[in-house]
Amino acid sequence: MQFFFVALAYLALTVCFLTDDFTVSYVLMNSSKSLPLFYKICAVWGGHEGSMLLWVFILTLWMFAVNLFSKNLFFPLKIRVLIVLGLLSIGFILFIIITSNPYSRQFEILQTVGRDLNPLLQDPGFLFHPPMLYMGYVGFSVAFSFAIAALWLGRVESSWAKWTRPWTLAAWCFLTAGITLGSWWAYRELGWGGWWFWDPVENASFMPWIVGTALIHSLAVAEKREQFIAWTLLLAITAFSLSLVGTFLVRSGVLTSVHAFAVDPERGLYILIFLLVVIGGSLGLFALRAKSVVRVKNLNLISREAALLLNNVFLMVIMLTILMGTVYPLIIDGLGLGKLSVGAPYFNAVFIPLMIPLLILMGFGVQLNWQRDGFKRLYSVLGLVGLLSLFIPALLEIIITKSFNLNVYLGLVLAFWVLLSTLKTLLIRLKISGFMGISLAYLGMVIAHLGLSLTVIGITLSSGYGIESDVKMSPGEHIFFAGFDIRFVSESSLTGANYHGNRAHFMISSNGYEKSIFPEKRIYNVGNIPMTESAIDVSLFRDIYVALGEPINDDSWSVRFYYKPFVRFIWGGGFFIFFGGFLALVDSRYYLKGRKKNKLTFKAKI
Amino acid sequence: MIAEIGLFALLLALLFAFMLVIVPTLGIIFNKEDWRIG
Repeated sequence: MQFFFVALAYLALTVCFLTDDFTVSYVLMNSSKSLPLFYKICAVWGGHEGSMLLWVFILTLWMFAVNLFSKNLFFPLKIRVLIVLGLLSIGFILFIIITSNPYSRQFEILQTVGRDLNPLLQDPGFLFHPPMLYMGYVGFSVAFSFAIAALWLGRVESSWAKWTRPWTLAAWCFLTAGITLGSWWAYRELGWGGWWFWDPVENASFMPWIVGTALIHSLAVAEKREQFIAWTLLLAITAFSLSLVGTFLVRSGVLTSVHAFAVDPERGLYILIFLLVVIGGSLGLFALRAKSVVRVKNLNLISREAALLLNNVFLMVIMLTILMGTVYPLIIDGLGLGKLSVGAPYFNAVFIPLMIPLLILMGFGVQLNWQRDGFKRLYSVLGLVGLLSLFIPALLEIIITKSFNLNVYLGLVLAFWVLLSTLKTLLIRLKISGFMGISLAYLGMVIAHLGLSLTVIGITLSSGYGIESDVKMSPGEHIFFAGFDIRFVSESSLTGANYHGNRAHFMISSNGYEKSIFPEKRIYNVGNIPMTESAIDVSLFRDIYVALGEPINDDSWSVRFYYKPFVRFIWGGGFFIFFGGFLALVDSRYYLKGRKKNKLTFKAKI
Repeated sequence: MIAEIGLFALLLALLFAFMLVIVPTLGIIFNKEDWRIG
């Protein structure tokens, strides 16, 4: 019933947008009569109030799903999970009603046009990125609720991990897709060829993803070996807490960023109190009850469990360094020591050195057996893989680029190490059990790890061999750029549904290849906001990116060109990671026989 | 009118959220965990 009413509330706001009801303040501020229908539907989450309503809608959707798919779950656990989710939904619905009512009306401004949706958001990416991200953020509330319910009951079995894992995987998949789509959208829309900015709000989504990644790995150990249970509970609490912190950072207005369309300190106070209650309460409960769920088992240093533990440690350190960089400006500001910003140089300096041991560990981790393994076996399996990982990148780099860049080489070595080691483990498994003997969860792990190596290849090559150039050009002129002849063919005026501006025609050619692209400079009618719509010649192995700058005089423009080799691998890898998670999610072990058995084991231990 | 329906629906959702929390919590307090959520 709660889901039905929230859905109705959400539908009502959508209808307000579709009917251009500008007496509703939120519609007035985020829509306009000339806004295309597609964006009117998306504009519901284009501002603070509506996106919080979307948050609550998704939360009730998860609650509905938990109620629906947990029929066989041990009832006292299920009821506690729903109580915790219910408490969270009360917090957020009260937040909307008290501080962020999207339905409030105004009659002072008799406007029939509307203030329009932020032009940055008027992109097809806006349909998918926020809902996907919220599905991930809010989805971690289910893992959180399972953790709190287990602590409340004071008992955690391996079946608890088996029940929590699919929910965590689902949330993690959505978050992966949301972050990947956001990165792709930023690349297309922001007009300067970057795909990740270490923007505080991006970090706010990346931190729960990192902890979520640690969580799905430690859940595997908790499920298979009944180890790290207290640690897994803490990770589940941390992942959702970071989602809440992310919301606090975006919604409170303490941070300004490219996402700064939502700024309000009063709302921030409510979220801060809510945050303290939820995080403080859950950590307090953890402190009280964790002792009762701890299992002490011997851990062999050369085993998959130990590798996963080390992986968790690295992931948590990475998360903490990102958290430090994100909140450091706030702390300095709060102490009255001035204003500063922490940007890409800090994050790259701390993130990359921490990723190196993590990627090395990944190559070993996928090969290790549970419980006990040995150096001898590892050496026999990974010796050749290690040699090839050193040799292939050097060969490829020298043959393809006819040059040698040490940083690129090291990045490629790590990517190939993960790639080849993962393929090797798949080959070994195929030899032992045949194709039919491989579970979807295992295949998902392989695909996700391959995806990460593809992303590393994309990041390494696009940043190592990317070229950019700013030039002044007039129609009729051409330049040679990255081996391509790029001609500025013409420029014409442009009129869209809610904007006007200029549209340029560029012709890219090389060895018989020809492609026309059309970058635009738009001025949105409401507020006269200028926007650069870049044009990209896309191919699997390289992008040529053209962004129209400012007009310099009557017929010439400043134009920015980027050559981005292998940049598509970054998002392609992201899709592989998502798809790997999805395959693990649909593994029937979680839904059929295992579940019925779990119910019995749980009950037998009451 | 539509906006008011939206707000009313949200208030009803809040009411149901309170029921979802209070009723089973009372059930747990009074040790009657065998009832079901509708």
